[in-house]
Amino acid sequence: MANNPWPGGGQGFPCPQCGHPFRLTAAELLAGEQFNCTSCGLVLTLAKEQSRPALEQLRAYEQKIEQITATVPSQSGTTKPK
Amino acid sequence: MNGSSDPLLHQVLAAPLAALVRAEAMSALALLDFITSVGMEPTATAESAAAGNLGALRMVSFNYQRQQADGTLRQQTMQVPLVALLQLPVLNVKDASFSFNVAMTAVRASTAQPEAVAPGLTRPSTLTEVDLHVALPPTAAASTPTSPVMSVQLNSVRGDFPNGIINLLQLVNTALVVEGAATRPTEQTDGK
Repeated sequence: MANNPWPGGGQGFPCPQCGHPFRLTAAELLAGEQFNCTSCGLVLTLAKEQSRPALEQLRAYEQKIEQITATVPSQSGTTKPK
Repeated sequence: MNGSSDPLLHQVLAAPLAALVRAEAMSALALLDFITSVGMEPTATAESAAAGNLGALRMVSFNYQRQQADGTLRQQTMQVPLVALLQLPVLNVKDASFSFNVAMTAVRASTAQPEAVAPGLTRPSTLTEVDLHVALPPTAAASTPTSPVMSVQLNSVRGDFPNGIINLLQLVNTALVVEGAATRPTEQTDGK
């Protein structure tokens, strides 16, 4: 079986300085500009202009997720254990 | 009542299992469609898309500074495929159960005809096959009296990536791009 290099759902990439997995979600990427490696402290600064097409796609994807989430009944509306 | 036109029991049993296999295949295709539609640029032409060609990866760029061996800081740009930042919806069927009633409408026993297995040699007709024709009767729980009911329970879990997707993501991993840019001395170097 092939070794899965993307544990935890595929989010992240190796830090360019130390190789430690750099965990970064789509929501964090849209909300922030600077991100630190939890292992070596390297600061990555988002190049917003250069990344504009990808960020627009990402924003559209996040909005779709929010719309779908809003239409799903909340857990409180389902049967509660007694 | 002649039930020989009703489906055979094995056909009825196979139907939900075949539906499950098709559902998993469709799920894998949906994942691939998600990766290509969100993570990749559209192909340049309709002909290219029809040929199965994929567009370029959508990339997110980061800048950072890396200290060189001579103490200078080098501005570098790293490009990460967008798909590496998405939580991919990989779902596998953990277990499934199907529950339904069948009514036997016809039973046919037949002995297979002697079968020629080689010139001048036939296999004796010892195998008797029983065909069970069945119908799915309406149940009390049915919303309309004529509708049979099949109870389906499906548990799905977030699963491992199929090997084909892993190979695709490994291509994504190799698509990480680091480019060097302008260099400038570090603050410590400036002060000396």
